[in-house]
Amino acid sequence: MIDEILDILKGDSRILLGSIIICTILLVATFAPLIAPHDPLAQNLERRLSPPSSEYPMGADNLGRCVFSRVVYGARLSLPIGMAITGTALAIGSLIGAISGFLGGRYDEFVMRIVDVLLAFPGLILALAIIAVMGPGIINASFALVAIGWTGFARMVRAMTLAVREKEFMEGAKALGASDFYIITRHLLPNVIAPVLPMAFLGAGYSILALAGLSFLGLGVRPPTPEWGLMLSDGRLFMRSAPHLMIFPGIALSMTILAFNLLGDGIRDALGPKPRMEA
Amino acid sequence: MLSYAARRLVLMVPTLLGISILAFSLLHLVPGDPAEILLRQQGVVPTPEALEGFRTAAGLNEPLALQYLHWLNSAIHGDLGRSLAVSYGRPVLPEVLSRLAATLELASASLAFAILISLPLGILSAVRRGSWLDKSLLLGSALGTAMPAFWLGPLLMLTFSLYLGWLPVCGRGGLEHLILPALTLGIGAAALTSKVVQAGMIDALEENFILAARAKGLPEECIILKHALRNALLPLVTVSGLQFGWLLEGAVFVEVIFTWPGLGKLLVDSIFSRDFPMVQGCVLFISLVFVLVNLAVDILYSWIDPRVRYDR
Repeated sequence: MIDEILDILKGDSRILLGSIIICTILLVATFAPLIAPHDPLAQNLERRLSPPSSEYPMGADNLGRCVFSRVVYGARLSLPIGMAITGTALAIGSLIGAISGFLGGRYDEFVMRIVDVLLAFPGLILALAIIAVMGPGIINASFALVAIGWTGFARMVRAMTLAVREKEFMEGAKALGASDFYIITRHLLPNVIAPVLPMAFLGAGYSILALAGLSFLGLGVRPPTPEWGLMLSDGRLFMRSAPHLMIFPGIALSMTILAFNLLGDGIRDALGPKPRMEA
Repeated sequence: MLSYAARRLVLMVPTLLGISILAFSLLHLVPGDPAEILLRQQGVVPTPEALEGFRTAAGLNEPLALQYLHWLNSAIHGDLGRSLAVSYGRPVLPEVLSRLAATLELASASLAFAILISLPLGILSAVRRGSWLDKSLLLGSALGTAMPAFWLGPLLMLTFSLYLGWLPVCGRGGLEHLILPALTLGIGAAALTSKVVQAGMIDALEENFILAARAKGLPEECIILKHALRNALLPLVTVSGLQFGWLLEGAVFVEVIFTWPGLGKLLVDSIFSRDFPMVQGCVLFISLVFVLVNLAVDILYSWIDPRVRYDR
């Protein structure tokens, strides 16, 4: 058993295991109303802080809400929003990076200076600064995470663009009279996007983690929404008398991040130690 | 060596300016009139006269670029404004500096812990590949990177402070107060650094100079610790610098969980009390530390491996 897990962590089965976990969580999220035994918001004050039982498989929280149902519904929030944040950051970053590398010159210099400055901040600190300005809440927190997330993609896509720019098919497209927009979207981006993929999976894991972290601090999702970071924050207050409030959401969050890390690392190694150009 | 350090210092100027512009813009990006926000925060009713008087006094009527230059000038001279929170009203800089010490103590202890753990783990698991140690490192680092500090911290607190009663629950004091927060932050860091040491050692052990050292009949410890380790340390130095940024991020959670009086906790508290000058100060100093640590790492790197200086 242990040896099998280790083989997976070492080899390419990381992609398989990562995908299985993510698909499972996606399924749980989709069919949450069928899986959850209770309404995640329904309170049963008689059962408050009660330990896991057959009626409440993961126990009940300080308001008597079913922890299992809340963990299940939490997947509906964390996974799609985390993926949407990274998807948006990926789209913005790739486009800016590709345009920057394609046009070169002063524009490139200017954009890369901005990217350098943004990368000089520890990411989460910049996100906190943005939230300080815009105020807490899930929309603002997601915006802040996109604002810090695009820079890494931009830098990488730009580097790949510089390498692809001089290839013959780019010359060919130009000679045929294609517009810059057409060349960038049809010829350039498809050729530079593959090596960015592992980064996107690792980024999705980070976004989910960061969003949960912001909610934990009280700056992201607001109560009573079932969200893992928020559940950890609430559970911390009762950790001595009811440790299950903290244990289960933590396992769900860690498993999700682990899955994205496995997938990202696996794909990165499968693509080879150096980003492959002819993808 | 010195010229390399000087060149890196000059290259840092645009980054520092960018950081200062971002920190300065914070207050001006807040929806609403900065003068009104600042006045309300001080408990003054924002009548048109009061607003106008405040704007003139605080220089808010000047063009933004000029305001920035004034702000930068005072910031360089150590004046970051005054806290807006009711209980403070104190100058920002001394508060930020006193908290900075606590954060640096926490981050350095965590990094030291991570390096101390990862050196023996990484070396042994590289030398004995396929052993149980190698396997547990693989499993441990996968779990270590996936466990958020805001879960690990409370779990450690529950085990060592509440159940076993070995260590204090929170606060800053002697060494015993530092152990749990540094562990929380350090375990995640060690998960990465130990893999870096291991990978570096595996690469180094396959090099020709190791073969030469073996052919010379050098003792195995000497080959591993003197010849291979020196080369394996290079990536560790780079990663440690980058890790520091990650540690500063993680410190926000750890400081909140263990009520450690550092910059991260001050930042979060200031966000809640809408104390913008304090937020500015925290963001400025956390970024400054990150930039300076990476500068130090680059210079250290060029000292360990002189080839770097010629490459760039």
